[in-house]
Amino acid sequence: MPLHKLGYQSWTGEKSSPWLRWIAIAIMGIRVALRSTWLNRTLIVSWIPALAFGVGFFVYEQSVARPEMREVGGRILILAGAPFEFVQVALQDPSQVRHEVWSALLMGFFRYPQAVMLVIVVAMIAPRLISFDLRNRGYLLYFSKPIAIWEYILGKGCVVGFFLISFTTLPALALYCIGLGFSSEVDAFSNTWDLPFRVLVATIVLCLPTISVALACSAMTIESRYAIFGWFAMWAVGWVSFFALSIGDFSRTMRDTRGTDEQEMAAAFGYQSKWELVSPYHVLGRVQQWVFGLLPDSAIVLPHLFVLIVVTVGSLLFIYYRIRSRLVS
Amino acid sequence: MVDIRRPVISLCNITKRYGRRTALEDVTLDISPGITGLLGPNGSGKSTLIKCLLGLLRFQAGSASVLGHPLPAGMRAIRDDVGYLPEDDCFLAGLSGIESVTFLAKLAGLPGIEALRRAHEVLDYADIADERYREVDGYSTGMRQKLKFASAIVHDPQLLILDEPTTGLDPGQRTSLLSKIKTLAVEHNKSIVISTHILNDVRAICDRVAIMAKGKLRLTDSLSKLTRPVRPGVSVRLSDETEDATSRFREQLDSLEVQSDFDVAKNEFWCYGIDSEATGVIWKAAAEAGVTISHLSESMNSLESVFFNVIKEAGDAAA
Repeated sequence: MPLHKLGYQSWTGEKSSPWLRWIAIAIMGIRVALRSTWLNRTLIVSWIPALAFGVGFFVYEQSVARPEMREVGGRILILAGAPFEFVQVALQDPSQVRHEVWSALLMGFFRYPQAVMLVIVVAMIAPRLISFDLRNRGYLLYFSKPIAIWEYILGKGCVVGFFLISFTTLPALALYCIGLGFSSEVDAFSNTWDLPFRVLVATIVLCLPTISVALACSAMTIESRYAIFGWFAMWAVGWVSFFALSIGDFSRTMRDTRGTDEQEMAAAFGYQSKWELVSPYHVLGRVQQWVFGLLPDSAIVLPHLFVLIVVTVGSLLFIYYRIRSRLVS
Repeated sequence: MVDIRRPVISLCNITKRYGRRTALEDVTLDISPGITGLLGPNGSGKSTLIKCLLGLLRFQAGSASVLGHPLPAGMRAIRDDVGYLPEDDCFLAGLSGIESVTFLAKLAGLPGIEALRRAHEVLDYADIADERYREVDGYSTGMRQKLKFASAIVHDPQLLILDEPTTGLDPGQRTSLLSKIKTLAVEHNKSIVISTHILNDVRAICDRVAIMAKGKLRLTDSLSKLTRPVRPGVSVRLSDETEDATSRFREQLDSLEVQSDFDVAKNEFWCYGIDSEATGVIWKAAAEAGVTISHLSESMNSLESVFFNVIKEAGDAAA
């Protein structure tokens, strides 16, 4: 009970811009999510791979300065998923391929450890963002204020985006800075100035579809556990389908390849699965490879880009109509 | 400041359909400043009308304006100036009372610190101050109702639309909330629309009443006019309810040329043509009949009877 109860007081003041109210939704969502101890621990863990990739930058820059380090550098490139021919070039004159090596390291960082972390962290945040509002009819409180549905979706999406950026973009940019710090050559920056921008584009490629799909899972149900299940199932089913279909296809390709051992080896290494489009992980990976300039032919990525755009737009429309239908009912 | 000459809500031939079902049909209504009760049975279109007023639903035909802002173009401005208390049990999970109201104040455009200060202020006003730091998920229905009330007034709106505001409140809390609503209207010039089934709430605070049934507006008038009897008169109840006393009193009324009816069920006389300030003739009749009057009041139409008549007429018309 207040000491001096004043009764109702009128309020006269300057209101904030009507077009920036979604920021309040984003900030409140981030604050609530950060109350989870497990999320905080996971975010700390999600930075550990950056240390490993930092070692990669260090070894590469050392191999440029010291030839005896080149073999170690080559192994790290293979681990990061760099093509075999490319590693061979890097072993001969590493300084000529700085841009490609840094790109491969940054792409490897996005594609392998952070993609796994993405699936886990998003599952901890996104499923309850909309499903809780649907279950508790919180949307009535949101939309009684001057907020449009798109602002609501934008605010919720920024909550997920904030965490995605915190363990993908920020460590990737930090890695780039570490690379510059480790480099003993003055032209390192002029060789690689575009990489921070590529990191930002890779972030957009990563964030837009994953945020939309995660929010669509959340909007699909009033039970957040079903949303979590749907989210994991999407990745798992994509993975399993991709591998099952690719293994069958690979076996057929190898059976049809008749020739010398070298020819069969070349066919095996040159095999490109045509089933990538069934797996969200592989679609994202292929587009990120293109963003970092590691694809020899850009035309390969067009179907992948198309799938990402369709999935993003479809998910956003689904969320919009799901919320709208609740308001109408 | 609300212009008392201009209606705060103006609806002209509003029609809203869900597929083939018509939820609102040619609703034309002007709501002037003050407290207006929106009455109607379930499915009469009250909630649809409220959602249309907030711009949450779009109507197929007609035109409307709220606080001078046309719908649907002025939806954002309307929600800036309107406070809405939804009927449904709704809350923002994971937030405490103070966080919830502060957050909604920010959505309404109040800057950070002001939003927090204002949230404390309205939580005090809504009598929920002691629970402000508890998570809303654990609130009782009554506490959530008060929280919704605080959320509705946090941005100091000119117009309040309250959908069943007293649901889940105990009698003391109900009286207190109604008095707060009345205070907002009388002392702070807020215009208030209350949608409710509880006729006592309407009788307690409303100036005007609009009754809806089957998607149409059936009746709108001031509460005092609606409850005014068709023929002015007073109702009289005697302490002695025996047949003998009743007949003696009736004879005296007849001899004094007072037109009267006796309601056997209520054991009550209705004396016509007499207003509450000229009841001397009634007392004279009682004295001469040797009976004692236990109750004497100006006869009124009850809001219940008005309401049920309107609903019955709507049913007959539909049939």
